[in-house]
Amino acid sequence: MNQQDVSEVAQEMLPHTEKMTLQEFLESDLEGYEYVRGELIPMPPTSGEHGKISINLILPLGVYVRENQLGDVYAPDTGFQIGERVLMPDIAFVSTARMPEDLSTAFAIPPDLAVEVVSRTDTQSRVIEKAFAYLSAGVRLVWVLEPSSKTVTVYRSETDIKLLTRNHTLTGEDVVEGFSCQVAQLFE
Amino acid sequence: MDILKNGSEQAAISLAPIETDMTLQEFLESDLEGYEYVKGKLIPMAPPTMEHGEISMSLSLLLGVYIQENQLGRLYPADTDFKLGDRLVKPDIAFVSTTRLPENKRQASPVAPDLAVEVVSPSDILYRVAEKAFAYLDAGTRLVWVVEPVGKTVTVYRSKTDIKTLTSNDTLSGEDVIEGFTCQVAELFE
Repeated sequence: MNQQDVSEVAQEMLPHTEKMTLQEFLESDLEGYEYVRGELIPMPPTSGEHGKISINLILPLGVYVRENQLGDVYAPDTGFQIGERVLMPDIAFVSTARMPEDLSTAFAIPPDLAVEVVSRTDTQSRVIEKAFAYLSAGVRLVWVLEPSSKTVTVYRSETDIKLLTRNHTLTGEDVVEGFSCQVAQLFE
Repeated sequence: MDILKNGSEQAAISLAPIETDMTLQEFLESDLEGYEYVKGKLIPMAPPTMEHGEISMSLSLLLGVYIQENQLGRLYPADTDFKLGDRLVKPDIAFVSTTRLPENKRQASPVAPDLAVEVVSPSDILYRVAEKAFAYLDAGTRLVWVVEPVGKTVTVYRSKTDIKTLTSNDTLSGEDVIEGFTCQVAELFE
């Protein structure tokens, strides 16, 4: 993506000013937005790199979760109600026990695991803020994949944050028990 | 959150890098201010906020007193130029140890700092921050601290595979770069 594209995307990312309630947003047919306390946050189109990294994790995670019948893995664009927000994690896992019966609307519950793949336009502050929003809503494990440094930041709480580099192994801890993959593999 | 949105995303537009055919040398000889230079691009610096200033000042005071008392070298404030290969950067705080100080100080530093500190602004793009930390390491910086106010964290880079994130419960240490220096991470955000 060249620089002009990046700034065009940044312009399109400017939040709309019209206010909607969370309920109105959930009942609307708006697509491609996250909702944060009355504001619509457009999600810019993601890059090839972003898509490749997402798939590198969705495949092994999805296969593992299915084989072990732990729950379900959700692809990008699945909406989750996170406190006063509706967010669309790049990948999400919801355990069987917590699975709602009605899947025809955005999830009213937070996922057990939320994964964000950092885009070239994401500010560092917004990424951390979102990770903390997931944690306060009850998400037990947050992974933030950062392509330029090939790192994964693992959030368990606001004071339990680990940074894994390409020499490390990423594990599902007690959330996706038994799952592991090499960090390096995700960025290949 | 409102600050983030009104501040960061609008700033993200004006802070987009500017293509230039200036060489690094031409940039150094120009009177352009408020930019870093990365491989033929001018990178506008984020407008400094009060929060940014407070954190930089808290850490500078702690580091400065320790470095002076122990005569370890020199501490440089924001806007001091450092050449890192084909980049020119302005770390928010930098430390150069006595033995590595260049003789001619009337120019941008030709040596990479021993310690580089970046305090993240609301408009800083994560990609670029991570990339800059690696550029310091490539140029020979032994320790990089990235201080992030929203999460109250400090990310400590020693190499591309030795990176730690400290939270408000942890202690930040100068390791073998500013030996004996420690402070509480929480202290930086008070």
